[in-house]
Amino acid sequence: MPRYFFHLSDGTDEVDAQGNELEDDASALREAIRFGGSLLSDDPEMLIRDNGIRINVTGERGDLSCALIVQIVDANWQATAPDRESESAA
Amino acid sequence: MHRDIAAPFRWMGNAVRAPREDRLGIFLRKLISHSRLSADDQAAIASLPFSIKTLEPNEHILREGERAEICPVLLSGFAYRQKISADGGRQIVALKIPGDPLDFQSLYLDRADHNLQALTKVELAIFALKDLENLVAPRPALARAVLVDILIEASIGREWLLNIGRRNAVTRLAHLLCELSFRVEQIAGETIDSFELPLTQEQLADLLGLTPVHINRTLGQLEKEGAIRRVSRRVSIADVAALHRIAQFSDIYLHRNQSSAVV
Repeated sequence: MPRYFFHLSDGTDEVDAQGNELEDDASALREAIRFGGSLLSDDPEMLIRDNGIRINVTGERGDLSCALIVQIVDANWQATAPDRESESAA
Repeated sequence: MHRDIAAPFRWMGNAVRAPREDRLGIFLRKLISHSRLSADDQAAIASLPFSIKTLEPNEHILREGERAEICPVLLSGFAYRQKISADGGRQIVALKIPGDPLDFQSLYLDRADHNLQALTKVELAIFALKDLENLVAPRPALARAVLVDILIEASIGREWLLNIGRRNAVTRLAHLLCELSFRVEQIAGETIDSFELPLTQEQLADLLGLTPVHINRTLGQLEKEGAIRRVSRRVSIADVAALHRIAQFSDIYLHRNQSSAVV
């Protein structure tokens, strides 16, 4: 079975030198998602500390198979300043 | 000195007794580690007929749903109990080490509720279940030893529940490795400098409820701490004290000083 490598970027870059054997690209993607979920469940601070994590999955030749990005989004973001909005609504 | 491993099960009707030697010594040491047994009780166990069987990794010793007719004891190698969910998810629910009786439960319960399989190549001492039942019935100290063995396994199971349910990945893995180290050292009777893990990363994943990729990363973290060593895919324990610290390990659940509690 092909070997895939799961590299984590979370402020520091971790290179996976060992890898795991998986069926195919689709399985590697599923594992990347499970891995991300497992990491965040384990250590939610990881996401808060670095505002996001990225998992790059490469094949045996170092080619990128897929990448997973998880980010916190600021829910208070606004398009315009509040008083300009009420002016145009009058 | 001749051990006839290739012989068919002797308990199936032949009166031929397997060679005694020291083969059952490790089993008796396991029982004595948690229970006081008189010389008479020990001799009674040692005089039961048994055969020796060798199995390859992952071969079944007992399948879920089966009724046991034999009582196997692990003489060398490691074994595991495993349950499989309807959609194929595998969970290793217990690990057994040399000296461990593998199925005392069947002395009391009707059917196996899990699969019992060889983890590594194993050698088993195979007793007839009936012989154990008849031996234990009139001997309260033996019956107690059987019970205590089952109870200690249950205690380890409760710790595993906590381990999988609430510990983070690195603590969870360190805890398991620390436990294995303690259990192996107890039966070996001596400190083991470097213990090579008999589990693959996939099996560690099936045991700890983590994906193999996460196990891989967590092993890397333990390696950075000097707690384990990795040579290609083989993992060995390098520093038990470090594992102990990382896992915040407490050995109460192993009930290691049980035999001194027996009146």
